[in-house]
Amino acid sequence: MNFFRTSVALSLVVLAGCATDRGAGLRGFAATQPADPFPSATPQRVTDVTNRVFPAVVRLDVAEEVYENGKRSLQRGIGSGVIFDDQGRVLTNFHVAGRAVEIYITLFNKERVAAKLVGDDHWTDLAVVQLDMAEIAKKKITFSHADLGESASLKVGQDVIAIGTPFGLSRTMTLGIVSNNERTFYPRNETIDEYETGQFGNWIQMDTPIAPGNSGGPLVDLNGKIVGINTRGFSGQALNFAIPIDLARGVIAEIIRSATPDTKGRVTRADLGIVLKPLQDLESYYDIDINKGVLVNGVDRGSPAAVAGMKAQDILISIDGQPTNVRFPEELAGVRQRIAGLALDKPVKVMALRGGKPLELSMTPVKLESAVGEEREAKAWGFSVRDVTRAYANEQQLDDDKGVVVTSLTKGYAADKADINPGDVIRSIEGKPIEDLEAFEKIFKSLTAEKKAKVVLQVQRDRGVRTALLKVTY
Amino acid sequence: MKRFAPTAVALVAACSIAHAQTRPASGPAALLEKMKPSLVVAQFTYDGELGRRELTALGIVIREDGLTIVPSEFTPRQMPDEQMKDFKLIIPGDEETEIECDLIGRDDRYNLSFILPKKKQTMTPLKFVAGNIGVGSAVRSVGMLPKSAGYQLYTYGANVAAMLRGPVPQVLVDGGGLTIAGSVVLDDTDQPIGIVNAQNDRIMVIGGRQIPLNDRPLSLDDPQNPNASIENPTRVFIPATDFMAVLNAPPSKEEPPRFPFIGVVQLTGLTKDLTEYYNLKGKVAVQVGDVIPKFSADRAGLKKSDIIVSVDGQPLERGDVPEEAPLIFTRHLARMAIGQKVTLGIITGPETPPKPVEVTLDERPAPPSRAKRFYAEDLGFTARDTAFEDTFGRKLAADAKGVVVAFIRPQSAAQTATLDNGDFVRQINQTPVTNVDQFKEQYEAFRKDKPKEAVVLEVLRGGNTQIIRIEPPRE
Repeated sequence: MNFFRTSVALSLVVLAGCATDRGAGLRGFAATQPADPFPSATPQRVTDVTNRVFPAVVRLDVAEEVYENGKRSLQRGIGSGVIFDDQGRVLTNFHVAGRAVEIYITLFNKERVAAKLVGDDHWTDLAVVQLDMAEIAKKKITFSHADLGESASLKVGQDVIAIGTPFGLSRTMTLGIVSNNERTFYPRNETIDEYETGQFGNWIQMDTPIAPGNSGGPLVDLNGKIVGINTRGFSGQALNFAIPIDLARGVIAEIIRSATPDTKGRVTRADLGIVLKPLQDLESYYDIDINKGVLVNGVDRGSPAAVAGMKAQDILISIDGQPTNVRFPEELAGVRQRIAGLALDKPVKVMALRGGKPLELSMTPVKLESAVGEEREAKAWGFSVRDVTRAYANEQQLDDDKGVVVTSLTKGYAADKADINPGDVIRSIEGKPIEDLEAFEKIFKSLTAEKKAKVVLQVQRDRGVRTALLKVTY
Repeated sequence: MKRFAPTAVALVAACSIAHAQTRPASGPAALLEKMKPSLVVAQFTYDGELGRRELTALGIVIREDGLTIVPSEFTPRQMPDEQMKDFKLIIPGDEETEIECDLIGRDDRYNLSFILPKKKQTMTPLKFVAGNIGVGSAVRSVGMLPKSAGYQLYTYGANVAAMLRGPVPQVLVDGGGLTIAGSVVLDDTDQPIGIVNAQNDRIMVIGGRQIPLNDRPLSLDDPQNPNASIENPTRVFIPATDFMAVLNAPPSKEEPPRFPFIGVVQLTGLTKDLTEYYNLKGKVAVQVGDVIPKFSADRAGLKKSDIIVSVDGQPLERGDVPEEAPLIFTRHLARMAIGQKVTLGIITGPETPPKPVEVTLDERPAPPSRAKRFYAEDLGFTARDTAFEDTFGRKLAADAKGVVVAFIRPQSAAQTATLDNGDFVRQINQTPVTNVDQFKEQYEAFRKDKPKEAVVLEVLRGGNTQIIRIEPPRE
C-alpha cells in the first residue's frame, strides 16, 4: 500500500535530520539558556520530562451509559487523562468518559478520588472531567498538573513522549517521534461508535507506542508541555494518533464556559449544510485559479445552503469576506472550523462561482447536529430509542425529522414479539403523533403509569409504514 | 473441475419402454431411457464485463418444436439481457449437434425461463400432469450429470414428507433427496408432476425462513453451485399444479412475458394480535406499506397503512406464517392479466367495515436487467439506463434523468476514484445526463477529443451528491 511506503520514506528522512538535533540537545532540561524549541530525547531530558508530567497523569475508571438489548446499562472501562489546571480539571477523550455516569480517578500518589463529567465533545473526541475537590480537601490529597503547550509548531521528526495507563497499567511512558503533524483520513469519515469525529482538526501522527487504555493520556514534547491527547492507533504498527492541543484548548474553554451544575458543557457549532471537497486536480476543469476556493461536493437537504440556492459543483470562494481555500484534504478542517465558528441565526454573505460566474448568496447558519440523537430506554416495552435528528433524517432519507428511532430490542419483550426492528421510526403511539424524544417519553410514562396492556404503534420501516401492537406485561 | 466417474451412478442400459401414461412405474434404468429424448442441455454464453463464460442447465422439452424450460435461476434476474448470448440446446450423447436458440422470456412468476430453437425441430416433449400425491407418496426425480460425466441422466427415489404452503407451494421429500435443481419429478406411475426447486431465497421459503440468496447462476458445470450439487441434494420440488398454466400458454417471440403490477410495496402480513386488534380474528390480511404514485393502487385511492382483507370477494390465502401472506398475495396478483380489474376489500381501522376498491392492473415496470448498458472500459465501470426501481428506491421523480453505475472493475480507475455500484450519475463533465445513449455519446466524444483527461461525474449516493473525478490510465 502506498500509505506504508510513504511513511517509511518520510521517517528515514526525518530520522537523519534528528540525529543532528540530538547532538545539539544535550544541554539538558534545566538549562537557563532560551528554551530549545525541539529538544532531543537525551536520557536526562526524558527522565526529567517524565518526572515532571507523571504526577499529572491519571487513570480513569468509568461506568459508561450504553443502550443495548433494549435497556440502559452501565459498561465499565478504563482510560487515561491529564490534570491540566490547579482546580483539578482533567482532560481526556470523549470515547473514554464522554458517556460516563460514574468516574473514579486514580492519582499519581495512588489515591482514588471520585470525579464528575464537566462536558464532552465527540466531534473532537475530548471530554473534561472534574476531580471531587471536596474529597481531595477532606483527604488532604495533593496533586499536580501539567501545562498545555502548543501543537502548531510541532515538527515532523520531533521527539515526543506518550504517557498513560495502557491496559490499565499505571503510568507508562513511551518515546517516539512525530511522524506527521497534519494527518487526515479523508475521504473516510471517522466515527466513535456512531458519533461523528475528526471533521474539525487534523491528527498528530506519531510512532510512539500506545495501546488501549492510553486513550486520553497526554502526548508531551521534550519541554514537558502537553502537545496532544493520545486517541487512537493501529496496534503494533507504529501508527498512532493524537488530538492537537491547539484544537483541544478552544474545546476545553467552551466546555467549561457552557457547563452548569445541572447540565454538561457542550461546544456549540454552526452549520451551513455544505459538504466540501478539495479542489486538487480540479482547478483546470473548473477553470479557476489554483488555491482559490473549495468545491461544493453536496448540499444537505433543507439546510441553510440549500435554502439559499447553493448547488453541488459551485466553488465556495469566501464566507463573510474570509477566503475558503482548500486545495488539499489537510486544509478541509480549517474551513470547517471557520463555518463552525459562525454566529447562529445571523446571516452571512457567501461568495461562490457557478460555471465561472460569480454568485453572492446569503445564508443563516443553524446549530450543527449529530446524526446520533439522545437515547432512552422504554424498558417495559422492550426497546431503546433515539431522537431522530435533522442529520439522521438526511442520512436515512426520511421525509422529516419527526419521531424516534428504535436502536435495540429486548428479546422476548413486547416490541420483539411485535416484530419491531432496530431502525424502525416510531411515528405515532395510540394515534398520537410522536414529534421527538420528549413527546415519546411523555406518552411512554403516561401509558406505563396506567399499565396499558395493549399499545398500538405506527412505525416507518424503509419507505413503508406498518402497525405494531405491543402486548405489554407489567 | 471435479469429475464424476460414470461408475458412480448405476446407469444400466435398458430396452426402451413406450411412453404409456397409465403404465405403472418402470424400473429406474428404463425410466432414464424413457426420459432421455425430453431432457436436453440448455446452454448460453455470458458475455459481459467479467469476460465470457458458458453456462449450462438441464432443459426440459415441453413442445414438439423444441420449446424448452429451464429454472429461472439459470438466467438470474440480475443478469442483463444483453449479456446472455448464443443460447443453444445440446442433445446428451450427441454433443456435436448444437441447436441454436433464442431466449423467449423469463417468467419469474413461475420461476421458469423459455428457450426456443431458431429452426423448428421435431422433439419429444414431456407432458406435465397435476399428479395426485400426498404425504408418503413415492416420487422419483431424474436429473443430469455435468459435462465431465458425459451429461448422463441419473435418478433418485424419495417419499413425500410434507406438503408445504407458502408463496410457492412446495413438496418436501425424505430419504436421499432429489436430483439437481430443474430436474423432473415423477410420481409412482412415471408421470411428470413437478420440477426440483432451486435453493433461491425468492422461492425457498419454508415456514417464513428464507435461505440466503444464492446469486450464482445455476450451472450444471459449476461444482461449487449448491443448486447443481449432486452430493448434497435439495429436498423440495414445485408441483406442476403451480406452473401448469404457463405451460399451457407459454410466451412466444411475438408475445414475451408481461407482468401485471398493482403499485403497492412493503406489504406486511398482520400478526395474530393485529388481526384481533382490527377485528379480523382468524382472517388473513396484509397492510400496505407504501403506494407508488400514479400506479393503479394510487389511482384507485389506496393509501399507505390500508389493510387488504380480500381479493375479488375471496379471503386472502393463508401461508404457514403471517410473513408469507404478502408474498402469496403479490404472487396471486402477478398471475393475473394486465388490464384485469380486481376488487380489493380494504379496511382502514378497527372500526371501519371493509369497503371494495376496484383496481385495474398496470404492467410491471421493466427490471434493470432489461436496461441498455455502456462499458467505459478504460475507466472500468458500466453505466446503464435507469429502471423504475432506481428512481423509486432513491425517492427521485419517476422521470428523473440519469444513468446508474452497474459495474466497477476491481482495481480500476473508477474504483480508485471511489465511484460506487448504484451511484446515480446526473452529470458528466457538467453536462446533464439523460440516458445511456447520450452518456455514451458524451463520454466517447470527450475521450476522442481529450484521451488522457479525467472525467468528472456528479453522482447521487444515499441522497447526497458526490463529485467524482476519474483519471484514465496514462498508458
